[in-house]
Amino acid sequence: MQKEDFFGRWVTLKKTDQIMIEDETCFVKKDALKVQKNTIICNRCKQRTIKQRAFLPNQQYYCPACIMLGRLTTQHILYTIEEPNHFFDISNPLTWEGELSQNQLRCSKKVVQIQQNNKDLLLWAVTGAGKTEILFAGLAAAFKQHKRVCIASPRVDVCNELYPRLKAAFACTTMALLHGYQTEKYEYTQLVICTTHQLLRFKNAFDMLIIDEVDAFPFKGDTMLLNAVSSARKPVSSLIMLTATPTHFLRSQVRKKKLAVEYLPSRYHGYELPVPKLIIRSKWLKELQKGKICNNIRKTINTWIDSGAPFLIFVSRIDFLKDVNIVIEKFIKGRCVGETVFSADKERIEKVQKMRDGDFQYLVTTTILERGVTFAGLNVLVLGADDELFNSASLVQIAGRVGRSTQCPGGDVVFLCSRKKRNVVNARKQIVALNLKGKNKK
Amino acid sequence: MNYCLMCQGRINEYFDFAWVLSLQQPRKSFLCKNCHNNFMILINHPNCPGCGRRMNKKELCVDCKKWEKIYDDLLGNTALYEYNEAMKTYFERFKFMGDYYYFNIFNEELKAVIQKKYSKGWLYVPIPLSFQSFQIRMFNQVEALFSGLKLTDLLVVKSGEKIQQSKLNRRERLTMSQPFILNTHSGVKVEATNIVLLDDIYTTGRTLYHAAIIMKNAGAREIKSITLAR
Ligand SMILES: [Zn+2]
Ligand SMILES: [Zn+2]
Ligand SMILES: [Zn+2]
Repeated sequence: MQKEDFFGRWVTLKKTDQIMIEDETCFVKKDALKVQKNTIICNRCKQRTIKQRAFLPNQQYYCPACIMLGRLTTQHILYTIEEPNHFFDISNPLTWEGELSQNQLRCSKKVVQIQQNNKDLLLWAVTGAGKTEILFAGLAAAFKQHKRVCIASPRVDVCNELYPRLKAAFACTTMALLHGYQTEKYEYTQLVICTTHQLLRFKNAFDMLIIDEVDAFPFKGDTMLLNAVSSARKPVSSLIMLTATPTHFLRSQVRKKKLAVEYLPSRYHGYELPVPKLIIRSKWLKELQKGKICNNIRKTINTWIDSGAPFLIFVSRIDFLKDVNIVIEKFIKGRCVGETVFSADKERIEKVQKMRDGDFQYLVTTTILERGVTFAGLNVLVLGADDELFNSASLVQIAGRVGRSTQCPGGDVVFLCSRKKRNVVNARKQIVALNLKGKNKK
Repeated sequence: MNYCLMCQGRINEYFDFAWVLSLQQPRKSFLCKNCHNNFMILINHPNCPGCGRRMNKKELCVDCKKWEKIYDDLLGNTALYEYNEAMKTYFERFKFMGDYYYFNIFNEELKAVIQKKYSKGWLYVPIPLSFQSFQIRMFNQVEALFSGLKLTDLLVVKSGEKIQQSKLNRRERLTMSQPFILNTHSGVKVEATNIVLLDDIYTTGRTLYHAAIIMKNAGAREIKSITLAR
């Protein structure tokens, strides 16, 4: 174990282990768990657990809340050394030579400014707006000042995708990729790219903390992850939250002027987001169960089939998938090919690839395809968009699948609902509002 | 409100495991219906009378035919559930991450089955853990799963012997030399007793047959076994 391992980070040792580093005084030491009358409180994740849930038969206790980072028990001690920012001088950290659109440039300047002044910012960027590049100037400025930076995302695939891009953009900066599925040893680096859970391992480490898809935290309003954010950043530091669909809480913070906001409304190619078309039909589900599809939807699907454009049909629940696909297949009568797909589907990756390759023209899917997946020239149909399992954020994400490529910036988004519910109306409102902002900013 | 330990979702209703006929009153459930259905029940299906593995009809599986040649008596293992994806996830959390509380999920069922099948005149003997593993995990997962029953510690792991089966391949597991010795401090006479060996997972049978031979040599009359998974 090296001294660097402790910089701005909790290292867990058993009470019986000895640390073999001279100069003990630089360490901050804490019991991993605080035991109270009926509960225990974890000093890593700050969660309180009732003793009955946390009890071990050898009269010790453990924290179940952050157990995926390695179990902490009453026999453990947390050690850390205050972040010293031991990084090399780099005169020109940014090795990327791309160009930003005007909208991107405006946001990029804002990020630099927020970074400089150690403030918080909500960066509201529509899907496909090219938000990574917006961060580059701010990151470069931070690296020059020896600042330590972290980019965290709730999703492992996002981290895996970001790492090589940042490695290419900042060739001389030390960086580490941290998530639960890897075995590499931890190393002290200036940039950390990690899943949000991993933030719990850090203590007052980061001068600049960036959180991607801040709306997609595994559990909404998860206090544990909020705690993780506030303890991983330094008391004086900047926080940048990226999202295409800010939560109600974040929007209200913006409205109350407690949080600065910058919009990146239009897409990189400058075209607007497609506005969803609502089809209200109260009996659609009953009809579908009888194998019938209403005229409006038949017409829409027919146009898609005739044009050869790919389409996704979203359903709210896994159990609907098969039944819906049977009805769709019966209607299509072999004019095109498709399949169903869901998150635990073993052939998920193959099916998505077949869709990309054009072997499939459509997929019937659950919300797993709402983020991250891109198909050129796509159309989207949401069956039962008023179902409570689609919140307005996921509806905006679903609509954001359409029109992402410069070649085909158009495309249909159709929401079929039994009645006009708030989630549907809100989603539509958000998209219209963003398009308007895009127009004004041009 | 109860929350499901496997998916963190809410548990809406009580449901009883159909096979527990004797249990009348509803009890606290730790799984939602969906997650419960992900575990495949083995008993009440045709299975191998040697190890409890699922079969198309009741007959000895290939592995048990091999054991039959080495040992005169097969263990007649009772396995409650198939070792499938859900069970793998369960053991990851319970055994490897060390979330002790998860023993609750199967504890009642295991107790009910063993008390029905081996009620009187049987000693319940858990497979022990090496000292090193116990230092790390701080509990014996077998004793945890069967907690609430009177367990008799007749076996100990030889010192210096480390059995971390998960690090061995199938062949190594089968040829692994005897890891156990008889616990001479138990104060229990093994001679002419009936023994039920308890383990968490029946993988190759190697561990349980090692334990069985120790019991046999100590004079046990009949030796059976129960595991949570096969
Ligand atoms: Zn914790
Ligand atoms: Zn569940
Ligand atoms: Zn068998």
